[in-house]
Amino acid sequence: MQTSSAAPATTLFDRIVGFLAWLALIFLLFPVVLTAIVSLNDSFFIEFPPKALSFKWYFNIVNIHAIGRSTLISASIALSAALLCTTLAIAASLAISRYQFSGKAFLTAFLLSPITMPMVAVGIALIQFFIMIGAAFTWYSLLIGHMVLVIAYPIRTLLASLTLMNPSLEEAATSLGASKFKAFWTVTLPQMKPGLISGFLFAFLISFDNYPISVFLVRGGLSTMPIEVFNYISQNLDPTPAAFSTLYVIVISLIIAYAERRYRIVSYSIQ
Amino acid sequence: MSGLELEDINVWLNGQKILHDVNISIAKGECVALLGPSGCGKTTTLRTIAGFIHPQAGDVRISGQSCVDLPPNRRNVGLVFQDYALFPHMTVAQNVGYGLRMRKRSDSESEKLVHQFLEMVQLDHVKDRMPQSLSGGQRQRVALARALVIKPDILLLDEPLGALDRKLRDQMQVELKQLQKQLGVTTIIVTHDQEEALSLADRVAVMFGGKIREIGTPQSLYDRPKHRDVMDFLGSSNLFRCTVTHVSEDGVTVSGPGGFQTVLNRTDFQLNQNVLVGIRPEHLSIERAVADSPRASVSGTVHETVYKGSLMEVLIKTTDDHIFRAAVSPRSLTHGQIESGAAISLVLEKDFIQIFQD
Repeated sequence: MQTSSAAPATTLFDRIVGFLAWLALIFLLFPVVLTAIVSLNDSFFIEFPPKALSFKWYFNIVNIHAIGRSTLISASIALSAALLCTTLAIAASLAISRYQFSGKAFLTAFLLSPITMPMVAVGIALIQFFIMIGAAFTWYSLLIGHMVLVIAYPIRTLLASLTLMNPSLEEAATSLGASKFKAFWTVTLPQMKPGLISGFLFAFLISFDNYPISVFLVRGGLSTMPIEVFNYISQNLDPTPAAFSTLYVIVISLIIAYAERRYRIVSYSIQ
Repeated sequence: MSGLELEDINVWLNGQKILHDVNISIAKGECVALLGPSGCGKTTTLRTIAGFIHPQAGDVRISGQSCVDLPPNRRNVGLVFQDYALFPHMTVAQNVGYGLRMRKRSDSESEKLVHQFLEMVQLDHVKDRMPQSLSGGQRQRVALARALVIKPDILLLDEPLGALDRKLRDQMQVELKQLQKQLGVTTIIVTHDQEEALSLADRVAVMFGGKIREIGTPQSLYDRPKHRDVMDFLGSSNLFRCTVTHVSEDGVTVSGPGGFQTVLNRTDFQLNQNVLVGIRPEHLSIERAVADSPRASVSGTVHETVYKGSLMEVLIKTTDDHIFRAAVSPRSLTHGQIESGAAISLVLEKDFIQIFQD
């Protein structure tokens, strides 16, 4: 093989950076791998390393209280919140990226603020508000709470995709005879697709496993998956939640892998 | 018949006046280049014609019809953007067919036209590719086909060759000119590249500070500009200060550096007035020092020579320290004449001497 001068020699700096990157990767993956190993433990208690392997805790998942119903509620809330927030975020991000208006910086900061606010504080504020207006502990109040939680994500990803979009494209469309609406529908919206999909996925995932906000907004039959899993953990010591978590990680990873393959969303959000 | 008229166009953007009374009339099928430094208003003029900017005053007429109040999508204008602005999520054929779809042409008709125009720019073989996979030159042709397939009344080109490399530019320049003539479409090219403007356009309008300073055929504008800043902007030039030393019925005698003296057939100058005299470097020739030449000449010494391939640039310094720039064919020089420090006489071709008010 011909060696050319194109590839520079690996420096000590490169090696250190590479080493740190591996370290970070291991640090991030370690809990997940540990959970997976624990979930396969045959014994009744969480122990490491496991003495014998078995899938029996996976079959015990059904015994988590109301796991089916709460997962369905979580899914319906996450799906609705993600859909509504992504739709609202289209309008908001277009306004922010296209127009100059007073209070624009404030509005942007406000819409993105839920990411930085302590969730417990948001939860307490929300439940006080819902009690005040007499709408507490309903599916709708839970949905609104989750919308507050996740709206910032699609706004961020959509703003990114609008910033990356070539502003000439829409002008090219209108100069070719497209009305404003047609140009938006046939050119702008397709350009926002990666932002739409990654924003939707972020919103869905953040809502789906949120605990600190949900815990204030649920009561009785209205309960979400993370709450039921946490309740199970606080009352039992067996590895069932580990089995559930492992299953959960696998399903989510498959969804993200598919979305990344199809739409390159992860590489897109990093840009 | 007039293809496009701009009448007293005035544009303010963000409280700043960008265009001052821009007037231009372009014949059907004519190709005009708007040339000027960046910020001179040429792009604003283009965007006003396309309809993206509504002028605060003035009228835009396409084929005699005022369209100043029409939105861009209701003017039949084909626009090729500097960055081509191809739709990245559509194939080449879908890009070219976009304008036809917006005009609700039947699928079979669209397909035929797309095929025809892609063939015209020799790109029919890439019709199913995505724009990102094309080379710069190919992208530009797709953008051109997309703008032309709608049979626009006006074709607007924004820095059409700016993003291409040297060799491709030369090739596209020829192709673009042939295509424009073949289709007979009224064309406006916006560019800051003089070579592009001079080689592509039938007429060139030089813009400075939001105004059209001078408009004319490339050759008249280059050889006989009426304004000193146009002369200065276009190509390279020698501009030097002279004094009117004699006024007679035959014209005025001007004298300047290096013993320069000539009689020019002009009457609009007064005795002792300071004037600027300009001449292109290629209208200067170098001769061995000859005394008492009746021609307009300057004597000096060779200061420096710069070899530029097809041309040799010679800098000549007069005794009063004025530098003249002459562009001569390297073959026309004998070795001795271009040696640094050699005393020579610089002959100015009288026909090409321009004189401006100082």
